[in-house]
Amino acid sequence: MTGLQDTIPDGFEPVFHMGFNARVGPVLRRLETNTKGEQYIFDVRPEHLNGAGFVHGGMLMALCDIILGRTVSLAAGMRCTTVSLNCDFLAPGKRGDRIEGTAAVTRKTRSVVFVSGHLVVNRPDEDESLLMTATGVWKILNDKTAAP
Amino acid sequence: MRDRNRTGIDVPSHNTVPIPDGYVVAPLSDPFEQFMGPVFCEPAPDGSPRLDGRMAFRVAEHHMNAGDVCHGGMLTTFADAVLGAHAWSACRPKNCVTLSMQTQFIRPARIGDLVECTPELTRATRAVLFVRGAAHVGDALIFTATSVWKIIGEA
Repeated sequence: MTGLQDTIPDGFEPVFHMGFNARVGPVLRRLETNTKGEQYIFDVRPEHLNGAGFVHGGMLMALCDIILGRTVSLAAGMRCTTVSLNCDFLAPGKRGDRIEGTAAVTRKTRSVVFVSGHLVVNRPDEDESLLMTATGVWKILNDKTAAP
Repeated sequence: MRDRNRTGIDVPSHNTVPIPDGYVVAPLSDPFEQFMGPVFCEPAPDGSPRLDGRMAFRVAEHHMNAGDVCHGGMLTTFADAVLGAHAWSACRPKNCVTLSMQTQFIRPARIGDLVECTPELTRATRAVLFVRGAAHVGDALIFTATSVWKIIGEA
């Protein structure tokens, strides 16, 4: 399997690939819309691991911040900022995993957006593994700046 | 310029980042923490780095988001490193893993800011640790975080 760092598969686009996202990513969003929410993929590389050889907890939370945040900004059409992010660690991610993320808006008001999502991995010869569930609240920045 | 760390993973060189007054470089062993670092910690009385206390990082280009402030993912990564090091110190010689973390983003951190986080053990049971922390830039509160950690091998 070719790494996402080398080749972007057809039907995907990178999520704001600059700064922090460029350092850890790419995180790719599926262009085709899905009733379950926005869908994303991310490849685990050696630099994403902790000393025990699993994906660092900070990396999994960062991935949730990226995919929930992108889902929010698409729904709001404006720049948004994270107010609160809650993550539960259900199972460890491993070296070489391709993590699939899904996120959907729960409620959007004039000024805030509620969003939830989860990360899963499908490994060969194993049942799908749910790694993380996350919920968050984002503030819509009413500064007339379009979402990046 | 890039360094080879002892895990053999190619990480960016952090040699050019000045060490803030009152801190030493935290000897973090997790490749991801080295990749996003450097992270600084306070020295013990004998000058050795202590991983159970206050830690800090300086916001740099590779921490920025689309709004040109520090990425929430970097702040959660830093929170996980600081609260995790505190939990790890509290459960020695056993190990622990993150079960849950909740982060509230109070104010943005900007490039060049020194973000300092002080962790606190809220409660330790036989199998579970509760750890919280607050991070500041100067006197301004940046984020608060609470977390739950499972001590491996304890039921």
